[in-house]
Parts: sequence; structure tokens; C-alpha cells
Amino acid sequence: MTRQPKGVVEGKLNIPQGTLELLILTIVRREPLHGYGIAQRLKALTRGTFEINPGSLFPALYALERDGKLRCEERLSDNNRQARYYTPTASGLKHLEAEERRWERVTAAISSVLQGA
Amino acid sequence: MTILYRIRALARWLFRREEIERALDTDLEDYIERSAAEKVRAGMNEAEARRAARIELGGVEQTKESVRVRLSFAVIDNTLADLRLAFRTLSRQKTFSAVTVSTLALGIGVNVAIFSLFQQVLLRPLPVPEPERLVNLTDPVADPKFAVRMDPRLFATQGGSNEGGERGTVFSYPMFRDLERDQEPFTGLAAHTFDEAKIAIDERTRPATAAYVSGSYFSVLGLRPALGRLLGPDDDRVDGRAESVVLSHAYWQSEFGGSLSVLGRTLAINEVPLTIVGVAPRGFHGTAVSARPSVFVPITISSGVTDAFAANLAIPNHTRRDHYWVRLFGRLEPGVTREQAGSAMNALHRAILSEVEAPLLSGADEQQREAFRTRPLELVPGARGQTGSRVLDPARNSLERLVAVSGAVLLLCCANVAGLMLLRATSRAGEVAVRASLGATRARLASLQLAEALVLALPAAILSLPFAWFTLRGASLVPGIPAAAPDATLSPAAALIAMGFALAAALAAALLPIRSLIRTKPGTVLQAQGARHTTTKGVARFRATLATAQVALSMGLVAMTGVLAQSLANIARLDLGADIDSVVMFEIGRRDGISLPGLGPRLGTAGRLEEALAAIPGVSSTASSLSPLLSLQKGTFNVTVQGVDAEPLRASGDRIGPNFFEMFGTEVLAGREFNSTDGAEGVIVNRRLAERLGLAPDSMIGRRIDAGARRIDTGAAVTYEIVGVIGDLRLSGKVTEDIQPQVFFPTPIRDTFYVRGALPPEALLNAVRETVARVEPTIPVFNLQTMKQQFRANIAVERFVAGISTVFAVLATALAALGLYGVLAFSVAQRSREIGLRVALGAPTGRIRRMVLRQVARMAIVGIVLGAIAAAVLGRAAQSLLFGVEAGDPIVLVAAAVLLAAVTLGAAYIPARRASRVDPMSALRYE
Repeated sequence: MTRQPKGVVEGKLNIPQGTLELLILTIVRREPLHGYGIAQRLKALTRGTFEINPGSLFPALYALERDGKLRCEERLSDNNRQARYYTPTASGLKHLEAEERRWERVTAAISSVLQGA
Repeated sequence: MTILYRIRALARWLFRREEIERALDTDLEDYIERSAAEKVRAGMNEAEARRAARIELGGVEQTKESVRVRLSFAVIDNTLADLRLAFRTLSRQKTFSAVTVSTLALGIGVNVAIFSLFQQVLLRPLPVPEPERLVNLTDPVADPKFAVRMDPRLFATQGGSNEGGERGTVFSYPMFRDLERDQEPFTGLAAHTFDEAKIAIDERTRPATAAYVSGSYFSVLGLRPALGRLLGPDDDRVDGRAESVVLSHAYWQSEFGGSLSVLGRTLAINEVPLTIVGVAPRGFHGTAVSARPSVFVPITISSGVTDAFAANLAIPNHTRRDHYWVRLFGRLEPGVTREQAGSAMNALHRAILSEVEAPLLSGADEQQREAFRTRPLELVPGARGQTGSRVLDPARNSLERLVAVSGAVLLLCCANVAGLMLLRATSRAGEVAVRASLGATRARLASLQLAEALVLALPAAILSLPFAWFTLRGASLVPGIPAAAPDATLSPAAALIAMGFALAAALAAALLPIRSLIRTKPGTVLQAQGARHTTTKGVARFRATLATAQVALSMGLVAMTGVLAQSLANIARLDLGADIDSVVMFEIGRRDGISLPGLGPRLGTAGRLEEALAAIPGVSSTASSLSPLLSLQKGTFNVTVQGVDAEPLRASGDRIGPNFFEMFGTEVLAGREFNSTDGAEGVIVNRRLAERLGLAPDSMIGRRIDAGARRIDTGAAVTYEIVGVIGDLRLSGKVTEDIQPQVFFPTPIRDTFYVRGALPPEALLNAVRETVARVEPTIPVFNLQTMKQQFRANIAVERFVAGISTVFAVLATALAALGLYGVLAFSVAQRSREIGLRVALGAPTGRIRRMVLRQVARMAIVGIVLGAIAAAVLGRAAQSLLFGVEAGDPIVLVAAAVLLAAVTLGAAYIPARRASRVDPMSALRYE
């Protein structure tokens, strides 16, 4: 994989403000996942539209864990290294649901404005 | 997920840095490994893949740093923002803020002061190295020690307790020397006591406290001199001789200006010349809490008392084994536990008791001898010095009560603040709902609430200092405390601890409403507010409940205050059996009830003084006794009357001079009182003693009583003839106690004098001071005051509690009024449409007003009833402070209820008027 220059290339976008947490929680809801996996899954799911660099990913992960929305378990991964797998807590799930609903309303509202205009 | 979980999570992230760092290492390493593995699979070679992965990460350290920043700064940023917001909000709500802050300040202030006192009087260890290795020797079984005296003439002047000053913690000097010689568990055994002494420097004689200390004293403590040397083993070799003296640092400063040339100068203690050899270290005030000696004198100094009878009672006394006046402490050898030392010292003590002392007993039966021989010795921690002294007892009792009171004050303050915060929280439901619907997390809401608590608590902490200062001033009037802590200050440590407690309490009070806040459903609240419906019914009901609770609290406090005031009034009205108006008193050679043999009272002094005092123009009569009337310390002893078959009576009493009862106007029921020619054979008893024996006062005259004294030679009882019977006289400072049987003995040696005169109190006090100085210039005068002052000093705790309770009742009533006003104003505003409708339909204004008043009446009545019940129940706890009135006194309760009713109606008046003036048009049009 080669790095692409930021911003200018068609098909790549910055993640909208405040939605990174929503995205992370959604991803780890399926199964506990480590940091690299989260980044890869995000890229795969958005087909490369959103790419997150670790400098933003890890602060977000740690803040979610601090706020009790994520919890972490250490496991031995395939090649015998320690790895931290993130899962949402009950409060994280609740938060996610609320955020999802909010997001739906926001997008619905915005698209209806756009269509109506 | 509860709020507690959040706080825990936050705390974990704040305080477990290492854990976070470790987690970060794991995470980032794992990321690089996986990223590199991916690249290897894509065809890169191992090393290059790793490098690329690192670059992709954007630098391990940078990533770590951005995590750290996010975790810490976010918290700080939010907190600062919350604090700013809280400050802005609260500065707009002036009444709420002022009431909350002053309530908290009161609670904190009282506790800071009392905690300071407590710490300084009872908790502070001695300023010596390794104070925890010090142990005090005590003799817990006080009774057998005194059941048998070796010498009947040592029958104590105040009854069965020893003059030396305290129960069970004192030893005789020969016993000290025996123990010191043979003891092994200590690096050394030290003896000390303190006493008032005359100190003469360059012809000037002044009273001061002297500590009599053994040569081992300073070395056992491990102190170093501030100047010169301290006393050592060479200073107490020969009994009856002393040559050196060490000054306390404070005395050196005040008396000698800290001059270095003080060494080698001479001063005389009770007329014994001593050479100043050194100065004790700064901050060391001796080892008996509450006594602050100016000088440290070798314990071998002679008492200087020449009168044979007085010498038996005087200290230091180096020969008598039945004169208990020495306090002992030792420093444990390294590695020796208190238990080990205890068993070693017990064995030694018992051996001395049975081999040396038991054979000297006179008039003891076998059982008493056995009890005497097997008396245990106990070692107690001595890190804080002698805290068991009789001087300290009043202070300790007072302090324990004060600590309880101040704790209760803090609790009440917190309850009130919690109530206020709750009230505020419910009135903010709308704002919170808006915040929540805009996406504020519960944690943010909670943190906002906490920020408000902090913004309120910090000014309260600062404002508490004046409260604390006043409390300290008030508390230092409580008996015992001035002696125990003459220079009590607000100690920073105590202030910090108390403030910590108080802040924690305030925060807890603030946290209470958080639960209900964050449970708010934004939707319902906003709808309700938008439509101006009578909001959520729950909120209104909750506010009403709270206002009711505040009325109840205030009712309880007002009732308590009323009961305390009633009790104080009862005490003031109490018939003492003595007329103390326009009487002044003073003591010579005695302070705070501790007598100072070797100083002051001699044969003839009393007569000379009384003669001179009686000659003061305007003085109508004088009297004298051995210990002050209405002072706290009164010993008791057993009395039997010959020819009456009854159990021995526990009696108190005093030794008094002639015409004592006439001067105080005490009723003499039978016989006569002492006159100046009485010998030592007659006694006067009181009516209560006769009543206990079932005898009429008249029939007491001529009977002989046995008060426990025994002849040294034969062991026969010494009896006294009853020459008079008096009525009820309150002798003890505990004026509220029942009058005990009393026995009064005549004595030629008296040191408390009473002067009755028609002069104004100030003039009388001055005249007395001048007269004593002229007649007996070398005799120090203590406690020169009016008898009223003496009387009041005894009830200082009660007065203090009543004062605090008054302040608090006023505050609580203000709170209750505010709360009621808030509820009513709120509900009137809510119901303006309904009211408008009623008015439009023709309801007269009077009915509208009554409708609002009915609402307040319901809350007031429930609150008052609950408060009355609480006052009656809680008052039981304070019953020991009450006199002549029950906690649930109906008159007080009714008065408090009337007051509360008036206040609540007052609070309701404005909302009620507003309701009756609602303009139906505008109210209805609004919809």
C-alpha cells in the first residue's frame, strides 16, 4: 500500500467532526478488534473514502475507554504477541444507539433540505 | 452504566498513568507488527516493511503524545469551562449563592475551630524524637490505693481523692525511686509533676507554673537544650536539695528577653535559690497536657513548707509512701513492646508493694491488704504526654461534647445544602433537558453540577475562617479549655482536615441531585415547558416535599434552641441556697481547683486577710473556704453517723471558715455554724444527709460522724461532733446535679475568700486586689472575679451550644422561608392560567389568596409536626445539657410552632398576593 497525498485525490474525504466515535463503536460492535483492525475495517467499509491515521485513532480509542464506552481485553494474538482488543460496554452501546438515531435524523433532515431546494 | 462507574473510569485514567503507558506500548507495537506483516505479504522485505509501518504511524512518540493530550487536557478543559459557567450562573443567582455559601461556611467554620482545639489539646504528640516509644505508667485501680491510708492525718481535705491531681496515674516518690532503680524495659524512667510556685527574680516575686522533674526527665524525652544544658542525673541526687533550674523557652523569652547572659543567674523557687543552667527547646511545654511550666526544677527540691501538718500534704514530699503526687513515664528500650514492659514493671511493682509497702498499712483487713498488694500497674501510650490529668478532664469532657455538636452542625449544614442543590436542580430541569438534547453526556452534566458545588464550596471555605475564629473565641470560654490550650489557634493542619471533610461533604451534597438530573427525559421536560403546562407533576411535588422538609428541620432547630434557652434560664433562676449577688471571690495559692501547698495558705493568713478585707469601705461581710464554691472539682468520701444503722453515705463537702453560711445567706436549720473559736472537732452537715438517714435536722445535733479518718497509732476512727445542720446549698459547679449529702469541716487554713460589698463589681474587685497586695504582698492571687462569673464559667458549654443552636435555627428558618417562597412563587406562576380562569369566572380575590395559603398551610403543618417529633427525639440526645426542661416540652414546641407558622405565612404572603392580582385577560391571552 502506498500513501496518497491528502485531500486532493478524488474519492478521499476527511471524517466529519464528531462521527469518528460513532464509526469506531459501530465497527467494534460486530466483534472485539485491535487498533490496526479498526483502521483497516474502516477503510474497507468506506471503500477507501475515509482513512484514519493512528494519530487520530488512538486518542479517540483511549478517550472512549476513559469515558467507559469501550473496554479492553489483552489477548495473545496469532504470533504470540500481546494485543489489546476493544469492545463496546453497555453504556457504549446505548450511546451508539442514540448517536445512530441522531445521525439518521441529521442526515434525513439535510437530504430533505437538499432535495427540497 | 452508573455515574459511579464513570467517576471510577475517570479516576483510573487520571491516576493510572503507568497502566496507560503500558497499554499504549502494547497497542502501538501491535499496530506496527500488523501493518508490517501486511506490507510483507504485499511483497516488501521485512526491514523495509517495518520502517514503512512506523512512518505510517506518524511517529510512535507523537501518537503517544496526542493520546496523552487528549486524555488529560480534555478533562482539564472541560473542568475549566464548567467552572467558568458555574461561576457565571451562580453570580446571577445571588440569594441562592449567598445562603448556600454562608450555610456551608458555618458548618466548615465551626468544625475547623473545634478540630483545631481537639488536635491541639488531645492529639498533638510531644515535640520529642520518637514519641511513640514513650509510655505512661498508670495505676488503674484507684480505689484500693486510697481505701486504706497509712496515716489518718492524710485524710484528704477534699475527701477520698488524692490532692496530687489525678486518678490512678500518680505514684509516691519513694515508689518512683524503687521502680527507677530496678526497672529494665526502659532506657530510663522519668518522674514529673507540676505545681504553682513563687518565682523570685531580683526581689520581684511572681507566681508561675513549675515542673518538678527527675534527673532522667530530659534524657528520657531525648531533648536538646536551646541554651546551656538541661537537667541531668547529677541534679537530683539528694532528696531535699536542688541547685539548678532550666527555663522554658517561652519564659526565657518573656522574662529575660531571650538574653544569652541568663546562664548562671539565680532565681528563687518558693524561696529556694537555684542557678539557671539552661533553656529547654522551643515549643516544648512540659509533659502534662494543659500545664505549661515556666521552669523545670529538680524533683528533689524541698517543698519549703515548715508547718508539720501542711508538710504532709505539700509537694514535693520525698519520704511518704502514702503521698501520691509523682507522674511516671519511660522510654521503651529498642525492641521492647509495651506488653513486655508491662509485665516486667508489674512484677517489680508487686514485689515493692508486698515487701515494702503492705507492712506499713494500718487499719486494713486481710481483703484490703490483698487488694493493695495485687494492684496492677498499666502502661499506656505516652506519645502525647500526661493526658489523663485532672486539669485536662474538664477540657476533655467539654471537647468531646463540642466535637459532637460541631459534627451535628456540619451534618445539618450539608443536609440543607443538599436540599438547596436539589431544589435548584429541579428548577433547572429545562436547562438540563436542552443541554442533554444538544448532546451533553451525563458525565458532562454531572461535572457541571460538581463544578457548581466547587464554586460554592471554595468561597465557603474562605468565609469559614471568620466563623472559625468566632467559634474558637466562644470555645475558649468553655471550662477547662483555657487551661488546656491557652494559646489555641486555628491550626493549619486541623483546618485542612476539617475543610477537606467539609468540602467532601459539600461535594457529596452536590452529587445527590445528579442522579435525578441525568435521568431527566429531555423530551417530556421540553414539551411540558414549551406548553407551559403544570410541569411534570413530580417536580412540583418534589419541591413541595423539600420545602416541607425544610420547615421540619427549622422547626426542630427552633424547638431545640427554645429548649436550650429555657434550660439556661432555669439554671440562671436556680436557687443556689446562697446569695451570690454582689459577691466577689479570689483564691490564693490555688488555681483551677488544684491546690498548691508550699505556697500561700499558712496558719493565720486567712484571719489576717479576712480582717483587712472586712475593713474595706462598703464591704459588709467576708467568708472563706478551702476550695471555691461552685467550682467543678469536688471530691467525695464515705460518711457514717454513729448510732444510725445505715450504709455509708457518699458525701461531698469542704473546709470552711467562720460565718460562711451567714455571709451567703444559707439557711441554718439546726444548731449553729462555725465561729472563730471552733476547734477541729465539730462539723456541719446538710439537710440532705439527715434526710438520707431518715432523721430530723434537730436530732442530728450532738451525734458524731465518721468520715473515714483513722489514727496512725491505733487505727481507731476519728469522729467529729455535728454542731449544725444547713439547708440546701449548691456546692459544686455542676449546679444542675441533685444536692448531695454534705459535710463541712472547720479549718484554720483556707485559700478561697469571698467578699460581699455594696460597691460596683469593678470597684470591689479593685479594692480587693489592692488590699491583698498590701496585706500579703508575696501571695499570688488567682481567679479574682465575681461569683456570677464563677457561676457562669460552669455552664459555658451549655451557653455555647445554645449560641450555636440559635445561629443555626435562624439560618434554617431563613432557608425554610426561602424554600416555601420558592415553591409558592413557582406554583403561582405555573397556575396563572388556571387562576386567571377562576378570576374570569368570578372567583373573589380573597378565595384565590386562600387557595394559595391553603397550599402553604398544608406544607407548614406537616413540616411543623414532623419537626416537633424530630426535636423531641433528637433532644433526648442532648438531654444531658438540659436542666429542668424536657426535649419535648409542650410550651416550647407550641411557641416554636407559632413562630414557624408566622414565618411561613410571611413567606407565603407575596405569592398569595401575586396570585390574587393575576389579570385574567393577560393570563388567558398568553395561551
